[in-house]
Order: sequence, then structure tokens, then C-alpha cells
Amino acid sequence: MKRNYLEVAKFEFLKTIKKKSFWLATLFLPIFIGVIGLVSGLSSVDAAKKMENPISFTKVYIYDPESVIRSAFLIAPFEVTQDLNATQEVVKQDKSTILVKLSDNYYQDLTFDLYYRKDADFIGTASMPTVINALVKQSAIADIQNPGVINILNGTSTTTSYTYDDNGKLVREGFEKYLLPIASLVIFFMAVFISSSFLLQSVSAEKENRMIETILSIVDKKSLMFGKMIGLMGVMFVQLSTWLVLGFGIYKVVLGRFSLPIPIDFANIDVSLLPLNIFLILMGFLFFAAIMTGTGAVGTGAEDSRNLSSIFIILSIFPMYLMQLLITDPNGTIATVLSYFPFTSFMVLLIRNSFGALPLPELIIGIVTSVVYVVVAMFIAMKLFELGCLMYNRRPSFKEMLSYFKRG
Amino acid sequence: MSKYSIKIDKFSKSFGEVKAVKDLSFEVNDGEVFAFLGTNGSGKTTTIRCLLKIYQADEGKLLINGKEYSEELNQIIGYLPEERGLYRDVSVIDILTYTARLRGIDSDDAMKRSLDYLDMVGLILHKDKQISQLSSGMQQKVQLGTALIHNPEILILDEPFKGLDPINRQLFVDILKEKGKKGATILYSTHVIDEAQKMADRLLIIKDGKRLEYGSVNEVRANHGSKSIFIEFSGKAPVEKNELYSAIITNKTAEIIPNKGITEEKILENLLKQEVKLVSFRLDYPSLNQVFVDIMK
Repeated sequence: MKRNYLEVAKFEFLKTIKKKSFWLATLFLPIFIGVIGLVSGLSSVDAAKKMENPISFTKVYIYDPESVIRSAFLIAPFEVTQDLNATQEVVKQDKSTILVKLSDNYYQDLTFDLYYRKDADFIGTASMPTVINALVKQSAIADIQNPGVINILNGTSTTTSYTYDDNGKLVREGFEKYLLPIASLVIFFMAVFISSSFLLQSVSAEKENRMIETILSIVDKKSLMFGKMIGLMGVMFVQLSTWLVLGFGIYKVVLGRFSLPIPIDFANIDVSLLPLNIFLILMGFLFFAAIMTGTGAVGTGAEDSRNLSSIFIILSIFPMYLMQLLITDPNGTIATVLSYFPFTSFMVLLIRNSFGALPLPELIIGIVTSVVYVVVAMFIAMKLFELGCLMYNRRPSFKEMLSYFKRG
Repeated sequence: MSKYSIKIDKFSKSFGEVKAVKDLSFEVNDGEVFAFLGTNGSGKTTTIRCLLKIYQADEGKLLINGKEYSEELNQIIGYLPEERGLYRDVSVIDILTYTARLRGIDSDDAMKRSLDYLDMVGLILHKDKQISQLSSGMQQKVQLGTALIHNPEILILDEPFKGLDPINRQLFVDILKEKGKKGATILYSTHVIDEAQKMADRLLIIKDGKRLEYGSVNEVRANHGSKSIFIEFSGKAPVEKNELYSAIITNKTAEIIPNKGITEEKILENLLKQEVKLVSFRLDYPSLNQVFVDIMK
């Protein structure tokens, strides 16, 4: 009988993974992300193509008093003009034309002005500075005789980094460096926002369909709550394993069948990050699972609980908006402060650890505070669960919650 | 083994400023059918929830077989809550086996008991259906199954007849009578006073969390006023109230409650004067229904 929480866990686990909707969501999510990625990629390619040929104007008049641009480059739709006023009149009437007026002193001030109608093509006008700069640059390079210099001016240097590990071994840095941090963040995100939402759904639905009282007459509230958490943690592992298998399968297929070069040297992955990342993911899951349990018990039903939980979800995804700052300045004030704020600490510590920016004292404090936050969240969730799980059609008031906590 | 299956002693419970139950004491003997009566909000559900530790009592002792409720007692207790419901997206058989497993029954036995129960209540063909696919009457049967699956010694049923159609109500009554005959102790709260008069050995009536009446059905009836006259009649019905009595008339029967000092002979004379054609005339204590209505006034 003392192992009732395991029965609850088994039931919750099977109940969830037997649902078609679970498998649809699990299999559909990567496809959904893939489709979004594809659409986004295609639109980028489309936009890039459009940018490659941005000259949508029928005429681009060039007023160039210092002859900066070589006349050989000025083929249609480019046309040199000497009469500034007359050209301005033409442009004023015709939205398919544009006037580029290079400064009288261009070699010193490097400025040019554009004249066009307000309703002229947006992409064409936005890309015109790039086009003119390219023409100016090409004209300048044409005067240089040294092919090496031309090569430097036309190209961009490529870089390969080599790092020494703790044993003095030289390792070529590559994409692998980012694999584990990205995977950790993705897993954290999934664990927190998808799996803990199963818990919210489970508690609020049980309360809404009134099954909770029958179950509470058989198992105590602690066993029910922890059983649910364990069961849904199992669901999270099934989901992550499915995605891992799918991801690895797709990688193998792409590598083998299509011979696409996706070079991942698995030996170069820094596995030393793993223990703390796993710890933080687990703590993050438990913390948000506790929050969702408490929220589910306090809400009047599934919809009410979802609305309540959105406050906590917004707080917890806050670090995503600061990702660039956290990566570029992982030891700055904002990163440090957010490392100790309960709702953001798990993700921020994970990011900082993944990029090797967590000093040892902060790492120790981070581990301690994570455990403390989880224990406090569990305690609050337990109390809210006790108080709210049998309150049908109403939420406990703040006063009721306080007096319940005071009673211990 | 305790003489009492359930003993509640000086139990009180408040919710904030509201005193839900005040200093309540009663016992339910081994093997008896005990009715717990009271209007809505009188404290019945609170008492049952505290007995099962779903709520914590503020004061008093609530004992089952001499002990406070713990998970160990789950194997001998079956509970049907007032606020009923089942997982809507889980199959009938999974719900029954789950509640059986929670009560420590092994998987094979849990499956066998679940199938036997479903066979008994005529739901065997629906065993793999999700709860949401069943009618509300069928769901009620499954709900009762979660309380009976482990063949409990003690049944605690909060408003077991609530929301039942007459056929399911009779089925429930039959099942409970059968359990009672086999020696189970049954504590049930209800608004269906007629059923309590027929089924219960003893009863408790509470109002605003306080005990008003407690004892065997006949004791409570006898304690509450003089004997009533129960008549069956054909043709014209008697008047509902006059200087001699007040009556509760239903179709062709009536319960006549004599006013103070009025003998049954005078009532009989009066009825004959009214030209009521009597089919039967019987003296008895007021019905439990009448007692309940009187004390709740």
C-alpha cells in the first residue's frame, strides 16, 4: 500500500501515452518545427534571390560629377545624367525611376543621395545603397593591378579554431561545441513547457471531472501528487526519446542516402557539461511541475488553470528574450541576477554552464538555490493541492491560502 | 475487534468563520445499515470527508475499526463520494482495475473482479469503451464499482441515490441490501428518506452540523410525536387539515397526524363523516419522512 504512488505513476504514464493526441503532438511537433523551418528557409532564399536582383526600376539615373563609377559598369537600367533638375522632374512623375546623386566631393565624404517617388518599389529602394556601394567598390578595385590585393578586397577570410583541452590535447573546434548547449536548451524547453503542462492538465481535469475525491479516498494527497509527477516525468522521457530517435534517424538518412555533408564529430562534444545540465533540467522540471500542480489544484477547471499558469510560463521564458545578451555577456549583472531568480534561474544557469561561463562559487550557489527552490515549490504545491483540490467551482482566496499555510 | 465499525466522538470542523460540524458524536455498529440524514449543507459530507481524512478534523476522534483512517484501511473501505466523476478519456476496465490495484489487489485478481462486476451490472460489453462514451446511468454503475471492487467490509456512501433513474436506483438498493445481508457495514447519507426508512437499521439526523435525532428508525419515529394513522381509501380523499388532524395525502393513501389529545376513534368518526371510503386503517408512528420534515422546520 505504501507504493501507491507508483501505481498512480504507472496509471498516469499509461493514460497519457495511450492517447492518440499525445502521439500526434509528439510526432507532429518536430514536423511542425520542420515545416516552419522549411517555410522560413524558402522565404529567406526567395528574399535573397530578390535581393540578388534588386533593380526593379526601369531607369536608375546616376549623377556622378567626379566620375567615381566606371562607365563600363553602367549598363541598363543605369544611365548617367548631367542635368540634375530635368532628371528630378522625370523621377517625380515616374515611380519606376530613381535618381542617385553622388556628392560633388565623393572621394572625401563618401556620400550619395537617392531621389524617388513615395510609392516606388520598397525592396528596390532599400537595396539601392548596397548596389551603388558595390558599383563604387568594383570601380575602385578595377584600378588596382595586384591580383592578391584584388582577391583580399573581393573575398572574406575563413577561420578554423583549435583549442587545447585540460589534458593538453589539441581539438579542432566545430559545430559540435554548440550541439550540447542547444540540445540542453531544447530539452529544457520541452521538459518545462510541454511535460509540466501535462501535469497541469492532469490535475485540473481530475478536479473538473470530480474523479479526484474517489482517488483521494484511496491514496493520500502526497502519493497522488508525487505519483503524477513521476508518471509524467516518464512521459517526458518517452517524448524526448522519440525525438532523439527521430532526430538521429533523420541525421543518418540525410547522411547516408543523400550524401549531404553534415559533419558532426561526436568525439568533440564536451560531455563534461552533461551532469550539471541534466541536474538543471531535472530541477527545472520538478520546479515547474510543482508550479503546475499547485496551479491546477487552485484553478476552477482546465481553462482557468491554463490561464493562471500563463503568468508563470511568461516569467520562465523571459530569458529567451535575453538570449543574445546572456550568450555575449554571461557573467554580466543581468545574467547573474537572473541566475538566482526562481523562475529564470534554471534556464539561465543552464545557458551559462553550457557556454562555460559559470564560475565555481556561482555553480555551487546555483546548485544549492535550485534545490531550495524545488523544495519550497513542492511544499507550496502540496499545500495548494490540499487546499484547492476539493474546492469545486471556485478558487481559494489569497486569505484562505495564507491562513492554510500558517496552519502548516 | 471493536464493537463499532465507525465511531465519531465530539467531532467539530470549521471552514474559516463557518462552523460546519459542532461536537458531533455517533457510532455505526458492525454489520448495520446506518442512514445519515440532513439537508444540504448540514455537515454530512464534511463528516464523511473528515472520517476518510480527505479533510482534517479540527477536534474530536473519528475512528474506523478503532483506528484513525489510514491507507491500510483502504482494503476494507469502499467510498462513493457525493461529487462523482470518472476520467472521461479512460476505458471502463482501466478505471476499475486501477482503483482495485490502488487497494493492493494484484493485476490478475483486479481484472477478474472488474469483469465479474461489469457482468453483474450488465456492462461487460462496454468494458473497453471510454467513460465519455457511456450514458450517465452506466457511468454511475462504474462509479459504484470503484467502491465495491475490493469487496469492502465497510461501505461509506455519500448520497448514493443522487441523480439515479428509478431502475438504477433499484439496482443500487439491491446491491446494497445484498452487501448488508453479507455482513457489510453501510454508512450512507441521503435525502431519500423513504428509502432510509426501508433500508436503515439505525440513523442520525443532523441540522447545521448538530445532532438532532439518533437511534433505530422506530426509536426515532416513536420519539417524535404520537402515533400516526395510515389509511388507504377509494373515491373521495379526506381533507388535508381540520380541527382534529393534519394529513399528508398521496394518491390513494394518507398519513394522518392527530392533533394533541385527539384519539384515533375521533379521527375515524370524522373520516366516516367526510364519507371517505376506507380500504385500510392502521396505527403507526409518524413516518421518517414526517419526522424529518417536522424537525427541519
